Amino acid sequence: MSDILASFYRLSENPDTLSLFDQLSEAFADSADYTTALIGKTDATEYHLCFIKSLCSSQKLDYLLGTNIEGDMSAQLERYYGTDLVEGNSKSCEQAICNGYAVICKRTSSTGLMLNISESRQRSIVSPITENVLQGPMNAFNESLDVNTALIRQQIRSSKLKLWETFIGTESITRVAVFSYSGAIDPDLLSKLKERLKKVQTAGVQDSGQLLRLLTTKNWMNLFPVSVSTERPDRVSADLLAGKAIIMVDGTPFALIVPTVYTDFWHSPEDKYINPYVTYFLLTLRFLAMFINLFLPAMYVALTSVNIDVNRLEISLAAAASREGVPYPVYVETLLMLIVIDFITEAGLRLPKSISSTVTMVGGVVLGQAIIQANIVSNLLVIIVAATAITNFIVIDYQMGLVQRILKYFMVMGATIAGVLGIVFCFACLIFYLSCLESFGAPYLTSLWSKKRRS
Amino acid sequence: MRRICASLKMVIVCSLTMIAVTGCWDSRDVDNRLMVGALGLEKSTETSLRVWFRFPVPKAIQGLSKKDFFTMSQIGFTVPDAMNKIKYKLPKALDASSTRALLLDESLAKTGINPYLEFAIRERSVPLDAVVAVVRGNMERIFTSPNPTGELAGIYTKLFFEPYAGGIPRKNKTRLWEIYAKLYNPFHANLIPLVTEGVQNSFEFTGNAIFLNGKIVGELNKDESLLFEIFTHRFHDSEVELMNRSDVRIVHNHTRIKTKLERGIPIIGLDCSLVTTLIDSSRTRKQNESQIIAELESSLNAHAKSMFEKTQREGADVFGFGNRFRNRLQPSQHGDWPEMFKSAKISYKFHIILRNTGLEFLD
Amino acid sequence: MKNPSAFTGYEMLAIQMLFSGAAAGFIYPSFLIRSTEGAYWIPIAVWTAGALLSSWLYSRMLARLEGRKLVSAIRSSVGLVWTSVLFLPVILFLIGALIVMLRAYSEIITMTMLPTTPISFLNGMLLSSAALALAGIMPIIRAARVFFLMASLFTLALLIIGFSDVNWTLGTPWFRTNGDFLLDNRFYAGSFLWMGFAITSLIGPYTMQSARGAWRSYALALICALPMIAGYVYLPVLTFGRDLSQRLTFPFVTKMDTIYHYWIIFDNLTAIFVSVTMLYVLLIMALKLHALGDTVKTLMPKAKNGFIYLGLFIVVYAAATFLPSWRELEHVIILTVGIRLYIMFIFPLLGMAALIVAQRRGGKGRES
Repeated sequence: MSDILASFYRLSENPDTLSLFDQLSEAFADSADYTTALIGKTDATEYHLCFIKSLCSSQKLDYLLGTNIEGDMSAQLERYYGTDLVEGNSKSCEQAICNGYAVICKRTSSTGLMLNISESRQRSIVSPITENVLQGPMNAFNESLDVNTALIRQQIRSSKLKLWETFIGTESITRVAVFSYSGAIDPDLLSKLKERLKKVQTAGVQDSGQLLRLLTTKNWMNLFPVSVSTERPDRVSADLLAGKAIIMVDGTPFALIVPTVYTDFWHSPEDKYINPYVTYFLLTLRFLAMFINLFLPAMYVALTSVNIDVNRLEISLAAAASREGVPYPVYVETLLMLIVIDFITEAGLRLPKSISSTVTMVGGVVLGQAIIQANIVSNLLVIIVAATAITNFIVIDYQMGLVQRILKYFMVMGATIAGVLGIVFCFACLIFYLSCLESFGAPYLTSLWSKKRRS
Repeated sequence: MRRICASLKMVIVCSLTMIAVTGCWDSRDVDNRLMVGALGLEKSTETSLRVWFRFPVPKAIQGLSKKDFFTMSQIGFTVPDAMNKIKYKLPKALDASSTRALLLDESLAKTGINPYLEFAIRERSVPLDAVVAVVRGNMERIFTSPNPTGELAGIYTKLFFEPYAGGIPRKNKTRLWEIYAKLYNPFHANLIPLVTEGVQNSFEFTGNAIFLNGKIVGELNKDESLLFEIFTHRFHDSEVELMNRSDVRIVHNHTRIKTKLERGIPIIGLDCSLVTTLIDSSRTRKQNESQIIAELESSLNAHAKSMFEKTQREGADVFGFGNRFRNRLQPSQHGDWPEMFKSAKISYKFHIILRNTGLEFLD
Repeated sequence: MKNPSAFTGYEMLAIQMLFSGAAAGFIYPSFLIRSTEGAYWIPIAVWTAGALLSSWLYSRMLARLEGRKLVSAIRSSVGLVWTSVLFLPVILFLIGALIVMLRAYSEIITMTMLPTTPISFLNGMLLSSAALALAGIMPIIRAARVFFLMASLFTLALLIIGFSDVNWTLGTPWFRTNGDFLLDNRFYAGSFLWMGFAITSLIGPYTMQSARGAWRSYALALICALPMIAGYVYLPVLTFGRDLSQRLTFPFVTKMDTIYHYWIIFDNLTAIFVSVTMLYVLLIMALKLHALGDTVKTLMPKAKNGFIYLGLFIVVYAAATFLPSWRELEHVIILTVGIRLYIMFIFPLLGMAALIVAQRRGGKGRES
């Protein structure tokens, strides 16, 4: 403790420039929560404590400010607990204050001592919100990188778990961490990833998704998410062991898993916790849902307006009966209905939970019934659109689900022009597009086959 | 990668302009089409024919007329010609792509069906899996009177022949492509079911018409049709063979066909084993197992005899035995097969097993 | 992944199977059925042997490349002019094959599913193939794996369903042949089906090992594709008989038309067959375009990649659109028989000779 005091008295003074205290006061001039406190007075000078009230722990502060100003400073400082004091110049002191440190400086000194009395405000660890867990680890990341790091470390208790940190954002100075498991990861990938992270130029990042957009060039090409974002530590640790890198951004609970290939979006971490046959069944179900979601509206258009002879006469007649009196061409009513159902989905998502159920009720039941009775769309179409909406929710990854929602319009376009063949053509184009994509060096369409062979 | 972007952009731009400029060519909504359920071909004059169209009508617009179908007819020189002409009368687009049945009038079938069916395979307007039948009687009544069981979406005629519905072996379901294939195959003659205008409903099955070169030359009755089915492996379901005193159901059959060519004469040996069960026996005169078998055998023999007589007289190999001789004949001889079939020696043998089952055993 | 354009065994298998699927489905059966009165499997077997021989010759040639690409290796050994002369037929063949494949497929669509859509619009599907070809060989391979998985499943299902209404006695004669097909030009016209290896040879660097491995997977692919080819040829014959099959333009399509089962959801299997064939055709067109573009690029190193593919696209599209009719297309196929035979058997020998000459010269040069 005497060291602290000693360094305290040794704070350098540079009479030529503005003192640290004045510089700080100027920098934080219009910040209401910037506080300075006089904590000691000697003959020669005054000692000031500068900090931002909202970032500091009041308990820790209490020790520093508890007694009267005239009191013995050494006694007060002894009660400070925390990391070592570091001396810093004005720039680092300013940054430190933004990080929740307190700076002690002499009235005239050009440097100050930084005391860590920060307290980060965060949620407690709760279960995942965007990924429902039925069976499996129930905890989820929160907004604090340190907590998240701890959660990952608790899953993998090995020295091979590596953590590399950098700061991104010229203004926000956000901590970004890259986790990797040194036994499994491709070092080439890791170095490339670090390189790319260093190159990122931006004012600030708020979420990992935003960081991903900054990391990938040619953004307009990337319709598909090139990385899974997850808030589940178990998924992260499983992927770490599988040789992937994890990017985490301070301030967001979502971790990015890179590289990610297309099939990864269809696996839930729970798949590993249950009976493999059930897993295969679920996987089949998901892919089936994907195809239905992609093709069903388009098939409706194709089969009721272009390739009538593909379906049975009975179905054609049923479709004709249900469309009787509808004044619009099939593709118009389909597009209309698809847009309406997307409105309903979006409204249900954005609203508070208590209202959203009402909205879906009104949208789904009332609107659906009314729109049929008004002869604007056929009732067969309502079934199809409902099935499409339901299958969309089976998609595990939220971002992939969003992409799927767009893709079905693409398919409907194809079906409008050339029927079934148009759909196949659009699908082929989609595959061609996917096969051109790469996610951090890994081809997007790498199938399970090659992964097995590589290992 | 930059180039891909450029080319992709180009693809999108090009396709969008294409769509905007040209539009969708084959797009015609289902409610704007009139789908043909059944087609009927009838002789009108020497050179022209009358084509009947029966369109099933969706339930939603049945309300006023209470009829679940709608019939039109048109005279034309060929079927496509009639189809073109009937468009002048129709409010919606004519769509024959899901036609389920094709009915041919007997008088037409007597003068030859070849020129009228040519369109089906060339233009692919009528599906090749439509069932075909020859109609005896008034085509107009069949096409205009409602079916008592309802239209069933225009597939009444199809269901009539389909094994999964009303089809029994004797009805000998024949599809359009079979007729077409056999028209070109010198070794195989057509056998097309013959239906007669019914009293209670539109039509009933009466037998099978033997075709040679697209013309009716004879007719098999129902019992002969059963044997035809047995010999050609088309027998798919159990079928009741009625005899004088007892009813027997054939539950399983197997036929071996042996062929050889001796001095230009085809020799065909048929060896048929049947597994049968007894359904009903007459109470007045009890029969034992061997009597029943003997009776069945003699009736089968009699039918077979008359059937082969009929077909051989005309040289119409409806069984397709000729396909087995294809290998033994030079391509130049293929056309001679109908003549050879006339002189073919056909022998047949039945091995009948009566499975003694049922709640009441036979003595 | 380090060597960006060498096929692995499975990828070679997938691509060659796709090639068979694209070539065998619609043009080939009618050629073969019309070419002989005898058993059909004999011409198929003869061509299989021919394909194995041709691909073996190619693999001997590729084994001498030592990690280089075929075109650039030959270019460095005999010079630009002679390479151009040597490769001119190859380029002509590839362009011809593309035109035929595109137009034939558009014709099949017009005849079956979209009767009023203009051919010029349908030919526009070449755009997606061209874009994929431009993207490089790796995307083609990745797409091929996906397509192979899907298309082979569907094709298998179609072939199995195709066994309904089959009458085996219609297939006779099973063993008799009088060799009449050897005199029929349609027999030689069917050679395009057996040239899959020639196309993949133009793509990618080869070494001794990879050439041998490629040949082995080609042979395997050929064996796997034989049931499919036989099915495309025999199923219509066993259903309709020879006499009608010979008159049909697309026997297998008509065969698909005849199938009706109560339990099949779709009424029209032709639609499924044509759709699956589209997957085959789009990918193989991309592969051919890429082979073509790669060759042209090596012969004209200064040209920009994008312009090469644009030019190729325009040439193929225009030619395919302005061919007046299906009969003309058949004439084109028959007329180009000579070029195909040259590429199958003479070209690898010439190429090998060129490479050997270069090796000798190079060896001497090093010694002196």
